[in-house]
Amino acid sequence: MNDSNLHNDVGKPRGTIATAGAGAVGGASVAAGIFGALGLAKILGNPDYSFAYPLVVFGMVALFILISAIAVAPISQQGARFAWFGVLSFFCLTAAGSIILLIQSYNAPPAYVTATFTPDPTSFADENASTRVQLILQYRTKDGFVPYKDQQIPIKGHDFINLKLVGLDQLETKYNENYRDEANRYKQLKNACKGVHNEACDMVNLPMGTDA
Amino acid sequence: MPEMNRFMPTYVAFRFKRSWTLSGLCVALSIMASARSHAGPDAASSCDPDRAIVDRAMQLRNAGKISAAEDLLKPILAKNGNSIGANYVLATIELSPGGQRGGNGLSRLLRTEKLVEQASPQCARMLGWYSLYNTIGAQYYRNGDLDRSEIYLLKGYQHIGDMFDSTKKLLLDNLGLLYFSKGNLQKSVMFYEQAQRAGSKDAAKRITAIRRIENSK
Repeated sequence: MNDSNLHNDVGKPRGTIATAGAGAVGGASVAAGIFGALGLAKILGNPDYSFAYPLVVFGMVALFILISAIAVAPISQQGARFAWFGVLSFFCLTAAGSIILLIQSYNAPPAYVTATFTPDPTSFADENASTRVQLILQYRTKDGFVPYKDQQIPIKGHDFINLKLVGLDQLETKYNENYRDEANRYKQLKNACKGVHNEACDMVNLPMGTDA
Repeated sequence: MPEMNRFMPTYVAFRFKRSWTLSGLCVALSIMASARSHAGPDAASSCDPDRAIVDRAMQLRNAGKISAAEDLLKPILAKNGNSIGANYVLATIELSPGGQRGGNGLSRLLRTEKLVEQASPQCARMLGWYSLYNTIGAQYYRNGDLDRSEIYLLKGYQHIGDMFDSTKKLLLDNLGLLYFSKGNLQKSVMFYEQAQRAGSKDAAKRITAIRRIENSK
């Protein structure tokens, strides 16, 4: 064993590990990216899955180790082992977290939607006025309803609103504003005429007669 | 008769003929009158066998003796749940205090409406059951539901020829008020004018008010 052999013995594994490491890092990065994105999307989308946060933290730590290992790998054999450890830990943790979340998503609790109109279109005197509808999506958890996402959609004053949220539960909110607007106008008139005596208000305050 | 006429002066024959005609007319009228007076209570009884008790319950209700009226109506309904008269009067009692019972009253009126639709038109006309549409319309109006009020008042309007004069006036007045509240002043005036022709005392006053409101716009 001479210096050149020693050099070769040391150099060969170093080069093999570096090549394999590079391939593994590439593959792992793609897989980690996919699983990590899925996991993060699920967590951010539904706060009920808060148990998955530690997995993401572990994943981040593993990613840090991985980056460090990539930097160290070409220099020493220990660094190469470190790199493999990093790749495997990151891959395993994000994969485990994502698999748990994916399994959970198959048993996802039903989503609910409530719609609030701001301002309430029933208060419109002008039929060209517009409003925004705020949809509040909720997930049912063991602790009650958890808000999922707020969404605002502008609508025109006298439109018949038919909102469909596909992908959750085919939830549908219908709102026939024309009907409510007219009824509300009368209610406003009634309120405005409380205690007021003039020809219009006297008529608004008249009860209908019955002979039953 | 031709034999008699030949020997009689013309004026005598005329008088004889007239007396026969008059007496025939009298007999016919008396038969019709007796038939009418005879048919009235009997026909009413055949339409509603408990009519007398229902009328008594109405009197008690109008006198404010609500529980006494209910005590009269409930046995009728226990016997025959589809009694239109008993349901109608009990519904008006339930409507008077408002709240939960008011909702019950409206539900009962709506059920009674179905019974009236199935009942004989002659009975409905004779016993004034078509006023039910006006009562339902008035109740929806009280609840602020102008669209449903309109539906029932217009259903009543389809039967206006079968209503008592007092109900006609109320229904037309109510239609005038409904369209005023809906902001359709032209239609409102049209119904108030009909109400005026039907003898409504307030209609003229309302028409003047609407015209003044219209001009002030």
